[in-house]
Amino acid sequence: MAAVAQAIASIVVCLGLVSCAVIGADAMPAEKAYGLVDSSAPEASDAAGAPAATPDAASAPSLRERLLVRSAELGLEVARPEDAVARCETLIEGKGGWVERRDGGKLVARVPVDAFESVLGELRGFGRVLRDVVQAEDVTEQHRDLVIRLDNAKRARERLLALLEKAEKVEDLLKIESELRRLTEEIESMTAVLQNLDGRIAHARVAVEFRAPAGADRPARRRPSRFEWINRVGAEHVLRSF
Amino acid sequence: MSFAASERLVRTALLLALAFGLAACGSLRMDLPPSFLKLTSGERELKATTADDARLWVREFGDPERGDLAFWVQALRYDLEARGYRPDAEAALVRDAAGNAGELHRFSALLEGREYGYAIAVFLPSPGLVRVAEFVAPRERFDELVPAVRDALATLGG
Repeated sequence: MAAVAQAIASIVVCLGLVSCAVIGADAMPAEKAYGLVDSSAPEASDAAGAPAATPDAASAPSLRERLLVRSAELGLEVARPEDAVARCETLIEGKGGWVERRDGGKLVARVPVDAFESVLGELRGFGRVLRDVVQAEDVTEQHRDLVIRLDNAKRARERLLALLEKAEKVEDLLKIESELRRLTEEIESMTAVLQNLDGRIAHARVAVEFRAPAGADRPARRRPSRFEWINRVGAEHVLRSF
Repeated sequence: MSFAASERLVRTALLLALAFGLAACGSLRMDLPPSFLKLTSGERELKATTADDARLWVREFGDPERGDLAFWVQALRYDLEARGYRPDAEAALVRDAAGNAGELHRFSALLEGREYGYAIAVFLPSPGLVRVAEFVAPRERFDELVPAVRDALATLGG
């Protein structure tokens, strides 16, 4: 009975440490964060007595393994923005993406990260590029921390479930169930955050704005110049006269 | 003869004199940029085109008001912008074969759903005369060709 109460108390204390877990390379190993490992055990060391390399340093991802959230903002000058928006939607859907939002000549879409560069290349050919911003946010550490914390929380929940089966006193049962509820909520929350992050990694965000050349929407008719030769020059005259 | 009739007679005579004067100067001449082909044109105008439809047109107009270059350039820009032309770059000072100063202005124009580059150079080769050289090309070709057109203006004369 006392052992069960002690186990519950230690698990509760360790759960409190979950929200204080250090993010990044110095993150506490998962088992210690949830009190699942005897922290008094000496750390492994090589024959010379030097401390072993920390798991974090050994598993640091290479450049290729880094997880990136990619995004781009393009501003394009085109003859007909409405046609360009339609072409853009067709392009994005053809590459397996989707449009998140459309507002006049502005469009925000998600495209599979593998198609990101090819979509940008095709969009740049739509017209004159006025703005071209490409970004990549490194979320490797954030992702890894979430995975570790989620895994630890799930294991802690398994242990609590095992304790629940052994509990006899109503008081202990209620405590365990309360902690189980809280832990379940945290697991669900972290799962949602991780899924969102995975989605952002897998699908890059592309924001495009299509604009007509300035002055293109001015009425074609204007008051003729009082100077006849000025009325007779212009691109439209050149194009008609040849 | 009524006053109106005599006024018309004087104006006609002046125009004829101007025409003869211009004719005496010979045809307009210009060393065309590479890839341009001279088309058949009148004595006081010159037309040339490339195989992909970039066009060059040099013409002269009478200037009875005798405006100066600054005035004509400003009046021209005012009118072109009212038509929807969008200035594309800073104006450039240019000179023709005789050393007459001119200004070259560049614009973008949306015509029939397509974007074109348009450049116009204005010269005042003699009092009462405005000479313009216009260059039009689809936007994607315009930027490539306009430097050569600008260089060719230095050979414009006649």
